[in-house]
Parts: sequence; C-alpha cells; structure tokens
Amino acid sequence: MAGGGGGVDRSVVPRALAYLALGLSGCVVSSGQTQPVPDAQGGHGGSADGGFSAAAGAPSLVSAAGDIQINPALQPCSATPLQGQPVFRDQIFNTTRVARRQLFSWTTPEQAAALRQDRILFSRSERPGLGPGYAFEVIRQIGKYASASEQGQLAAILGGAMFEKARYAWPEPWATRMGWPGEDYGNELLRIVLKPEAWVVLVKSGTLSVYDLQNAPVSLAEALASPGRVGAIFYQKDAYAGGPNCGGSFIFGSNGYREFILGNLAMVEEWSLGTQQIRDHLAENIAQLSAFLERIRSCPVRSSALSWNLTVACDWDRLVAEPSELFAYEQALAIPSDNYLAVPERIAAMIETLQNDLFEADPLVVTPGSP
Amino acid sequence: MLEPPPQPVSIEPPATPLLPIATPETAPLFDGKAVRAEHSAPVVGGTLLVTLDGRTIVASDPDRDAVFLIDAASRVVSKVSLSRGEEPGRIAEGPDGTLFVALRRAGALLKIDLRSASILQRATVCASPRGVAYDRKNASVYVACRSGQLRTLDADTLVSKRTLQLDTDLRDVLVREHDLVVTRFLSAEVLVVAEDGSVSRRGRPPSSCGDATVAYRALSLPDGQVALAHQISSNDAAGEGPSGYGGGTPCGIGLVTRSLTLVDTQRPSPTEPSSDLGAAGAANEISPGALDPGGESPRLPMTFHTSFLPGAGPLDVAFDAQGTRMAVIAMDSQLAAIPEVAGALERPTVDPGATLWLSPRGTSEQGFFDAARVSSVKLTGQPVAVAFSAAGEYIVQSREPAALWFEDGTSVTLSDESRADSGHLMFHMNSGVGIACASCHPEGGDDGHVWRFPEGLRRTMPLEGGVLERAPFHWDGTLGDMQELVQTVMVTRMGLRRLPSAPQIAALGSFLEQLPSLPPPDALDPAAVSRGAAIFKREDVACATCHSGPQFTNNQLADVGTGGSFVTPTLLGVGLRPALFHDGCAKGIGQRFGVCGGTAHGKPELLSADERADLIAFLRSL
Repeated sequence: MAGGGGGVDRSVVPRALAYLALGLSGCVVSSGQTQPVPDAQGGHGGSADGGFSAAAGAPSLVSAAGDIQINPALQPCSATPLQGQPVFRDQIFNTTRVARRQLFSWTTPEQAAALRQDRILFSRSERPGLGPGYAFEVIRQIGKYASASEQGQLAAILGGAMFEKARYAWPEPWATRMGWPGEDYGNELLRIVLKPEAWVVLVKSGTLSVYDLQNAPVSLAEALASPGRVGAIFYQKDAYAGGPNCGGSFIFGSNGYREFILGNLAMVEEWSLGTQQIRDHLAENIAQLSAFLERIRSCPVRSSALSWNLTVACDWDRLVAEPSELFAYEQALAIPSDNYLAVPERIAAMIETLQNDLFEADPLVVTPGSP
Repeated sequence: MLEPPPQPVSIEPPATPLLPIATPETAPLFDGKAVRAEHSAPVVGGTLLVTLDGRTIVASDPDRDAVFLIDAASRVVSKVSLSRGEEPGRIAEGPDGTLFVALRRAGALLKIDLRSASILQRATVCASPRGVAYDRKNASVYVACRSGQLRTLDADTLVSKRTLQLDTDLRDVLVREHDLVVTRFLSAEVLVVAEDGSVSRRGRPPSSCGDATVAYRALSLPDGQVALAHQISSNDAAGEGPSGYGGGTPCGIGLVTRSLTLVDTQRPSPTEPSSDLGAAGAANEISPGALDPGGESPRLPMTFHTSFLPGAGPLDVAFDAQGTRMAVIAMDSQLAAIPEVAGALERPTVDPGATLWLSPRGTSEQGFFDAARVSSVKLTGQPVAVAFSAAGEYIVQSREPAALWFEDGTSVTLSDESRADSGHLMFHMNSGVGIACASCHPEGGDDGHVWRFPEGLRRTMPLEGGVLERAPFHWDGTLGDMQELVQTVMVTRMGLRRLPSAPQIAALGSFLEQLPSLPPPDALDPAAVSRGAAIFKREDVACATCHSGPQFTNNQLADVGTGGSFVTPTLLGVGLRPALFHDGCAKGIGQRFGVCGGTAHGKPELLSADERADLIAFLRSL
C-alpha cells in the first residue's frame, strides 16, 4: 500500500489470493456476484482508455462523449456553500492520469538515519511473513497466466529484480501518513523525483498499461524494448484482487487502496530528506487540511464507516465535473481507512500528526549516480 | 410516600414466546404508576461475587450504599453499611477471608472481613476507583481509576506500592499469570500491562457496525482469554421520525448493539477475516452468537471474536469456575414491547425481552457462546449483576427489591429498603426498538460517541451534575424541557410505545438531576488550578462570558466558529471527556486550543504557553 517506508506491502492477502487462484480465464466470485474477468490479452486494457478524457492539467473531467457526470449525492454540502474550489480539487487522482514525477514516501527515523549514512534508497524487500503484497501478486499472476503475451513479459520484468527492493509513495504526504489503523510508516518524509524520461506502469483490473510522465500511453512493445525506463508502478486494488467489487448489487470486499511503488534507481533523478522544500510541502498540506476541516464541520458526513472505504474506492474512477468538497477529498486519498474518514476528529488528528512531523531543516539531497 | 415497586421480580421459564407489541392506547407506561426513590444510582454491573470456596456470596448495592454478605448454605444475610453516596462497586476476594470493595464516589478502597462482616481498613486511592483485583503472587491489590491511575497497594496494609498513569477512563483490572489486563470504559479498549508497568499491547474490538464502546465488564477466563461485555455504537446515520434510533443499521439491531467479545491478548488477529458473513450479506441477522461481519480488517495485536445480543443497556457477564458456562444479565425488560426485528431471528428462537442468557461457552470459532444452545430467561424486575455458585448455577442480583435469585428458583432478600424509582426504570429500559437512555448515557454520563444526525455530527452530552439546570437540551437547543425531550427522544426517536405520564417524566428528571458530578482527575497541581481559575475569569480571555455560573454555561446559543450555533456546553467534567465540541472534533482538552477550537472561541491567543497550561489545569479540575 502507499506510503510505506522500506517495508513492502503490509496488507494481508486473504480473499484476494483465493480469487487469483481462479485464474484469468475464470470468473471472480465475490459477494455472491459473478463478474467477468478482464481479458489478459488486453481486452479491457485498464482504464486509461476507459471512455473518458481529461484536459491536460485541468481537474475538470468530462467524458469523451461530452457528458458531464455529476452524482447529485456528491454535491457540496448544502449547509456550507463552497467558497471557491474544493480544497483538494487539484489533488484529485484517478487512473486517467496516473503519472507523477514528484512523489513522497514516509520512513522511520531508523531508516532515515540509514539513508543519511548509506544513501541507499531502495534497501528492503518484502517483510517476513507478509509476502510481496497485492500488487506483486497481481503482477505475478499476469506473468503466470499470460506468459506468452506482452503483458506477461512485462509482468515478468516487473516481478523480477527491478522492483525487488521497493519503496511506497504517493504524490501528497498527508494522504498516506495516517495509514491503516495499527500501522505506522514513520514520521520522516522522503521526496523522490523521477527522471523526465521515466515511465509509469498502471496495474489495474489484471492488466498492465504504460504511460510516460506526460500521461501519454506507451505501447507494451516499446516498454518491452526499454524496460529500464519504468520508474514506478501504480497499483489500485480492485475487485480483481479481492478489493471492492463495485459493479454488483453487493459492494462488499476487502479494503481498496492505491499506491506508487518505486524501485528502479536508474529512473530516480533525485531524492531528498529534511529539506526546506519538503517542510514547506508538509506545511502546505497542513494548511489544506485545516481549510478542509473548517469547511466540513457543519456538513453531515454522507456515509457510514462500513461502506466508506468501498464507496470511496469505487468512486476513484468516477469522473465528476464539479466535485464537492468531500468528493475531492476522497478522490485525493490513497488509503481510505478509518483514519481518513472525513469527520472532524480524524482530520484534526491528521493535522496534529503532521504538525508534529514538521522539522528543522537538515537537508540531504542525493542525485543517484553522481559522486 | 413511596409506592410499591411497579413490577415484582419473578423468574419465568426460559424461551417464552414473543409478546405482542404494546400500543400507546392500551398500555400506559408502568400502568401509569410513578414512584421516586430518595436515592438511586445508575446500573454499573459487576457488583456480585462468589468467594472461591463457594461459601459466601457478596453483593455491592450502590443504591443503598451497603455491601451484603450472604452465607451460601444458610442464606443468612449480613450487611456492611456505608455512608450515603459512597456507591460500592467492584469486589475482589483478598487473602485470609477478606474482601476489597471499590467505593466509586468516595474515592476509597475498603477491606472487609468476611467472617465478622466488618470493615478492617479503608484507604483513599483515587477520585473514582472502578476496577479492583487481588494478586496472590505478590500480595497486592490493584485499583483501576477513572483518571487513568492504576494503583498497586499492599494487600495487607493498603499502603501504596506503585502508581501507573495510564490512559484515562480505566474500568476493570484483571490479574493474569504474567501480566495485568486493564480495560477502558467508553472506548472498550483492552490494555495489557507488563510487570514493568509498560503497556505491551492494546486493542479495541473491531467492528464494521460502528465503534466498540462502553465496556461494562471484563473477566479473565481460565484459559487466559478475556471476556468483554460492551456495546457497539453505530457510525451509520441516525434516522428521523419514529424509531429513528432503532433500525436500519448495518448490523440490523439498532444504533447501539449489545456485544460480547472474547479477546485473546496473546494472539495477533488472523490475516483471514473472522467471518464471511459480510460477503454473504448475512450481516443483518441478529441471531445471538452471530459473528461480527467485519470482513477483512487490518492486522491487530489481539484477536477478537464478537457476538451480539438483542436489546440495549447495561449488562453483566459471568462464567462458572471452569469457564465452560456463561451467563449474561441485562436490565432492559421493563417493557413487554419486543423489537419488531425479532421476527428476523434465526436459530435459536430466543426472547429478546429476556434479561438472562445462558449458554455453554462457544468454541473459538463460535465466539463467546454457543448460539445453538443458548437459552434465555425472562426476568421482570431490575436484575443488575450475575455470578455463578460453586456448583455452577447462576445467581442474579436484583436492584429492586434488593434480592438474590438462584437457578433453583429460590431467592433471598437483601434489604427491605425500597429504591423503586420510575425515573431509574425509564432511564435503563429498552424503549422497544433495542435502545435505552443508558445506551448512550452509560452510568448517567455520556458514551463519548459522535452520532450522525440529519443535521450533522452530534456528540452525546453528559447528564451528570444537574442536567436540568442546563436546559434547553441538545446541541441545537431545540428541546426546552424534559417534556419536550421525552417526547422527541424517547417517544419519537426511540420508539417508546407506552407513553409516559407527566409524573413519570418528572421522575426521570429527578433521577437525572440527582446524578452527581464526577470527581475531577487525580494529581492536579493546586497552584496551577488556582492560576487557571484566574485566567478563566479574565474578561479579555472571555471564557466566562459564555461558560458562566455553577454549570459553566449560560445555556445560550453561540457561534464560536466551529461550524454553526450551538448551546454552550457545560464544562463540568470536561477534563476527562473523551471528545469535545458538537462534532467531537477535539479528542481532549489540549486540542480545544488547536485546530478544533473555532475561530471565535474566546481569546486564547492572548495566553502564553504557561498560561494556557494553567487554564487547562483549571478546566481539568471542574
């Protein structure tokens, strides 16, 4: 999951593996519903070409057919008319535009000390007993069941040495700091910048697709020709891996989340710790959350904790022209855990946590490959 | 002046058929009777103990401020009288024929001689002692305090040996071979305290139905597991209109669910979900013993198996000496009305109006008890605690009349002193849709929970310390008096089908009004409190502008920049309140001065850090 430090995916893999064991040619059975499984040969092709397009750099999202999708339930709270745009409008993240050059990763003080001493960005593989995580399980399955295809070949590369030692990241620090209840990824923040020529692989619905940092598609053939340019993997847990089954009448499933996985040092332009730039970014996050808190305090929350994770995760690919305050927040999340419920006490706790994370600048900037 | 109790206590055969739902036209509440007691205490549970040799039964009676010792063979009752309002609570058996009793509102621990029924020693321990346990290994007695102090006393001398400051709101303390287990009341959290005093593990029952809350009772079982009787408070929206508090929640039982959880503190939660009920869509069944359909949840440091029981309100739980037979007691049978949702019950058919459930202990897969073999006993009256005799038969303590009821059908009267109180009954009874006043206001306080109303998030408000002086009620100040409150909350939202009369509403008000303020936390610096009091009164800081008078509220609406206009809340007990503001934004008084505080909430920015600390010390003292 996103945000982790040296450890790989901390999530557990209960139902997901059972579903994966059914194989790509079978059906995913979840919550009493039967869902078709995407064709590993590219029949569904992820969601990058899923029928929507977005104006470059603009958060207003309109369908390719010109239809604006607005869910009335997601409109701004009537008790708090919006004053300007939703706080997190510019941080809305969906799989139509996954590529990001700047990413942040939380790490523990011990790991930060080791980074300062050894300057080895990717040093840890999977945590004992927890396996490599959902993302690599999906990649492994793609490699296994579609081994002859370009998908399978790329999966084999991603599942190999390139990302054997990985770090988890997200474009905004606040969205991963609180994590899942009971987990702590650390309170020191790494900033990682990919090289301009880096590519991002999207793992979604059992398929792989590749994008450059301008979010233009890269063909699988091109990616296979230059796999060394893959700088990051973006993974969104969905029904394919036992995550939210959004299409059926039941939406039960295990928790949804999303993450960037970094591991290819050759595509890292720079990484840094303790810089004023990182501190400023953190302070900006705090200010954004404070503004968000002020706006939501008079708004009833819309859903129960029971279904919140699923509701949010199932909305991640919903494109909305005029997002509400709450919707924009949810669309910016990586980990819709209880810690991120859009209720004042959780937001206040997040602000307090980030305030405690503010640091005196002690910069370390590393350019891999430079002396 | 006092009329007889409205309903005598009787024990009926188990598994009585479901009763028809009463209607307002045919059945006035309590047959229209209204009685008041000169003193009554909220139900706390855990006031009954059978000594290890089985010869003596001990019952604390906080309503009569007495401890009763009953010879199990002869049924002869001895009484240890206490002062009015001391409220004896938890009991622990000590060495050499002694007992330890926590006096909840006297801040003291008693040591009682079983043979002579006399007080041997009395020690001041903390402002609000709750849990008490004796450790034979080191001849120590532990006292868990609301302030968060965990006191260790020499069992012989009652001299203090150690004081740990843990999190606030401690409830029970359990002695195990190598560690202690301490529970927290409102958060239902379980803490394992190692021998060195550190908290080695902590966890809270997970639930997809809401938040685990209000842990009335915790017991240590012979196999090392912990039995936890608690509630689950829904995070779902509270509905409007009739029965708005009663249904439509993910677990199908109501906004508050009576829950029993087995906690294995030694074993981290499994990676597999404990149940696939959620995926199967079976979450809405309320069969006793149904597992919480939590689905996949993050790995927790402990393993929890949660089962549900119908009804709401205080409950107590007991196991026999071998930990193989379980009894749960609840005090919500005052209405014959049965929740309509009872029709959805699957196996076994139990009477949701029952107040005693019996079952063999369940396997680890089944959870707390064996749902297929549970039996229920309908007790009309006020059962408040349960224990097992040495022979493995249950014993029930009733509040009014003060009596013990045995499984063989016999009973023994503890006192002829009546504490019949219609207000007490109304406060603790199941309104008919699976909820009681006490569900959200345990022990007359608040559950610390933030509810989702159509108008927004609303934290439960406390009732202690003279609530009638704080009208209008509720955050929006829309309920002008008790009459409006009962009509809106109990009748409309809680679905009370038997309408209370004006005298009964007055009795409820009287019961609430006599609930004393809880003592402030322990170990406050008097000098800081004094300085803080002066700061509080400063006009430029403007605290007392709204938080005025003995209740620390002017009962007026104010918009302090927290998202709307709300009635100024009392500051009594604010130091130990688990959440502050209408929406629970601040989790403690320190956060009041942070991002949750509001943009127009006095002038705390005028204070230095030291002054702010003094002000907080004063607020904690209220």
